[in-house]
Amino acid sequence: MPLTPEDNQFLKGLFQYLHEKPLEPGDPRYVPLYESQPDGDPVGRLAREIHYSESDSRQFFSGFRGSGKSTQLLRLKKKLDEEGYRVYYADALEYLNPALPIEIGQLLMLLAGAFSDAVQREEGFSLAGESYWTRLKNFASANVELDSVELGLFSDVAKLKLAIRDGDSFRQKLQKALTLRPYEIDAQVKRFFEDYVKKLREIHPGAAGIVFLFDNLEQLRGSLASEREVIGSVQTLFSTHIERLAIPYVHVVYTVPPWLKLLMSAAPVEILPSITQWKKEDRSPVGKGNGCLREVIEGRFGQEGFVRFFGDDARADELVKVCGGNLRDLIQLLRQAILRVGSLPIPEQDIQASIRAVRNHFLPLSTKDALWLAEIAEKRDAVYEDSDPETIARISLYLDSHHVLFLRNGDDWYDVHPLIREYVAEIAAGEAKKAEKREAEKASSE
Amino acid sequence: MSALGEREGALRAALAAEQDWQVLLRHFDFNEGFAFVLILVESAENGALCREALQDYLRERGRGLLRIIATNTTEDVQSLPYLLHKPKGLEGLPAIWIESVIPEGSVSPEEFQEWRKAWRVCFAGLNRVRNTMQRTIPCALVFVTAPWMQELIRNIAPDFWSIRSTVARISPRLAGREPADLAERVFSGPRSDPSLAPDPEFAEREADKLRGKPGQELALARILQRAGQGFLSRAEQKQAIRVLEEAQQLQVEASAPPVDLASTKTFLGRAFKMDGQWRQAETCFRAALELDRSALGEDHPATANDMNDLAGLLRATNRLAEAEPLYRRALAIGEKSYGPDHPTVATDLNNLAGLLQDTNRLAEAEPLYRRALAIDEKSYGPDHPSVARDLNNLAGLLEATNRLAEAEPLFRRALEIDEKSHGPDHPAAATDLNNLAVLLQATNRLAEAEPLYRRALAIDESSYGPGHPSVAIRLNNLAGLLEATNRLAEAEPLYRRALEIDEKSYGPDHPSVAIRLNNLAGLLQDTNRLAEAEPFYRRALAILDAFTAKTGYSHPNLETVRGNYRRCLEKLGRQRGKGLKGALASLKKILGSEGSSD
Repeated sequence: MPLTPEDNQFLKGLFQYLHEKPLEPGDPRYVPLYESQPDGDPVGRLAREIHYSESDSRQFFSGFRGSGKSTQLLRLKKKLDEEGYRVYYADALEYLNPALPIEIGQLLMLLAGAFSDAVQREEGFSLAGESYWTRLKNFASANVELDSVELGLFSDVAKLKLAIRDGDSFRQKLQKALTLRPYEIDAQVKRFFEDYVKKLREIHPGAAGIVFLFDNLEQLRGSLASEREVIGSVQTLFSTHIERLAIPYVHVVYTVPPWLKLLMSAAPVEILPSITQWKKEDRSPVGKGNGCLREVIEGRFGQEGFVRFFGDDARADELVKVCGGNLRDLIQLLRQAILRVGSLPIPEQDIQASIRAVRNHFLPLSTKDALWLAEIAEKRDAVYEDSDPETIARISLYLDSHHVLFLRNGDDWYDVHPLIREYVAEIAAGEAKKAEKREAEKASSE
Repeated sequence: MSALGEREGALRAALAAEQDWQVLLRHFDFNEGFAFVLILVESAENGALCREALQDYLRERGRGLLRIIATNTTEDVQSLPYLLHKPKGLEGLPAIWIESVIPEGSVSPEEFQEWRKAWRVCFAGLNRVRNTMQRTIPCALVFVTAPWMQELIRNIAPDFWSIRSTVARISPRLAGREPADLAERVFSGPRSDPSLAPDPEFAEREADKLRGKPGQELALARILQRAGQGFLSRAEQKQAIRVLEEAQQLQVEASAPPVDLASTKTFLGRAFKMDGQWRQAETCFRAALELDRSALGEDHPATANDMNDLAGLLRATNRLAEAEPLYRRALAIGEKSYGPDHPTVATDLNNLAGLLQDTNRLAEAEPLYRRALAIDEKSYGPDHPSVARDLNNLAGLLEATNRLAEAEPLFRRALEIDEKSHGPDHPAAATDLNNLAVLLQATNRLAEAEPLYRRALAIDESSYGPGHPSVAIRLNNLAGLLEATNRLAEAEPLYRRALEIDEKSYGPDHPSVAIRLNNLAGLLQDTNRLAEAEPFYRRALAILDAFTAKTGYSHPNLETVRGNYRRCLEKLGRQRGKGLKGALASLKKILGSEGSSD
């Protein structure tokens, strides 16, 4: 039966409820996806590390786009809030340009500035009489040759931050000074944190600890021109200077690029995998994973809405089956289903049309990339030739776009998204036959 | 109405029929707040069409005007991240519209690279400010671009890409266009020649002699298969189905060799496909493929034929991602079996290129068409009918990428070849005449187009007889031109004849009949005979609804017809003095619980 105006209202409501923004803790739509995964709850592990470290800690958290990282970070904040911690949050992108390389001095400076701003937002005032930016001005006046315009930036924090992030000349001058005085900046930043922690403890004497969540550092990837340089700088940062990222008296959680795990397998990165829907050995289904994802749909649609839209579990399961264990892709599929449905409950043809529409988002693929993906699918591993930044950037791109999925049940492994798996396998089969033929011709002509 | 206005009207109707367009409109109905929307179109004309059509749609609903941001230069493009970072004055607007359609091949390679570079810089910037945009832009942010941009955005702005709300591929096609024949691998010649097909009546008479005779079942089946082939070549698909089903049953009962059964299933599948019974066609094609695969192996040319058939059906039912690997495999088998420069491979290249064209990978399709053309020119010389087919296909792609000036000489050359090879009155020439006429009409040379349409009609009437479905297509196209030039009284009998032919050929419930009903109703509406038009529209809609329900696939013209019918009812209501409310009440009554989703 075709849609009525009332049906359209219902669909509109569903559509608007299906946004991809991180869910606030306590949101009824939230489904404990990670908590029930074979590997346990990553937020629980992060919180435990904070509990067990009496004074301070430094943790790295990561996940590919759409894995629910921001939602999990919000969960962590809520959990720690409830446990009596004072939790402050900052978005690294407000302070640094992801297309430019980063050095340790600059990162520490921005970390302090971001913490300063976060405390000011939460507590309503600058502690210890001055924000970090004032301290930075003192440092810069003493150590950097600035013209009057550049000096004037320090009186307008917004302009200052923009100049540090995107300005060319000012940024470079500051960077040079920081590079020349690494221990000084180190000491300055850590002293700043110490002063703020003292004041915060005066104001909140019963607090269990101070936690700082520095989000979106994983956006560091560079532009096409600067990719090699940026990735190289991040590699250096985390391999050579990792210890300097520990801030005394503060539990810091940094979100970091997931490809760090590829480059430095020993790096202590808590990485959110895709929800495991199938087994590595034979791709047989994993009931729990699929069940969780169906719960997500039920949570978003409500029981009544679910039955009205899908009719039964089978139609919903068709979408779950091809979402790759990725929340964002599942939501894309659901949104396309709502936009394409012609009658309720949704007919099979509209389900298939939605799947085709989302599959098209993953295509086209060049033959070369299809072959690479086919190899990953066959070996269930992130196969790459070298650790060259361009190679890392390429595989990182495919992980971020979900062409390749990072999975975990027991060990870490990789697979190709179900929407394109057959497609790349066919391309690979065709190319293999061509190669065989060329070999045979070569052999017969020799 | 001017010819230009008529063309725009036809394009609007074609746009309304696009499923992705309907999805896009629904997105605008449902969405509130920020949304990143990407619309992929093949030409600047289509981009403008989308803009105007969407604007009208939103205006009708009191939703305000689009905020259009100019991107006439590469500098404009590169400044977009600054413009979109905390823009002001957007309250109450439905969308920001950014339109920049630079199809590959439409500008010089150097200029194209400049545009690519500008967009890369732009999207890298947008990627950085996407969080801010999500917070500060209270409406949809719509980019209208050529298809090559999708991969660029995905690679350069992965964060921004990941928050896309919807991607729409819009490519409205004017009705009546006959695509160039993609050469099914059945007959030995590059094009199926009706004069070489079996005589079905004769075959049936011979079959009657064997019926009921024990031990003759397989022989009977073979003759019935010939009859089926013959009916197919005459587009008498219902007759073909009848005899081929009988042949199939005989073969199954008599345990015929798998390859023979596969062959029958192939022809039966084609008959079902012609009859619009897609599910049955698919079942047959898949079964044929499995039989040949088992019996002959994965790499046998017969298996490749089956892949082509199945891929063709998947393509027709818009399962392009499934069709593609089959076309690729068929091509690989062809190359392996015959060598890379064999005419069979040229056919496979055409098939794959056609699909790439369907999926907007025009840059990938073009070299395949060109390679096919080179193969056939080398194999057969420059004046062979296969070359004409290749020229038609390549010209079609050039037309699709707005290189009309390049397309025209190819269409003309194809026509010249077919006239020389087959004579000026051959159906192949009729196809070429039709295609050239459509291009001429598209470029407003209506006076030149008309004689070509008339000639195409005369040829097919003479070749196939006045009651052939091909004749119905020619009548339809000529009538369309007559309508475009305001000769409505001349157009009407042609539309009526086309309807009669298709009803007789296909039965009263065939989708082709729905198209004829729709077109005739359109003319009746234009001549203010709304009361006459209404039942035709109603019937057309019922046929396409039934088709959609039966096949599981939404007919591509369904929404066009629905929209036409609704507008007819609205006008009818006003004419009878009931006003809009009354017209809508009539609409609801007639359509039952079906409300308008536009």
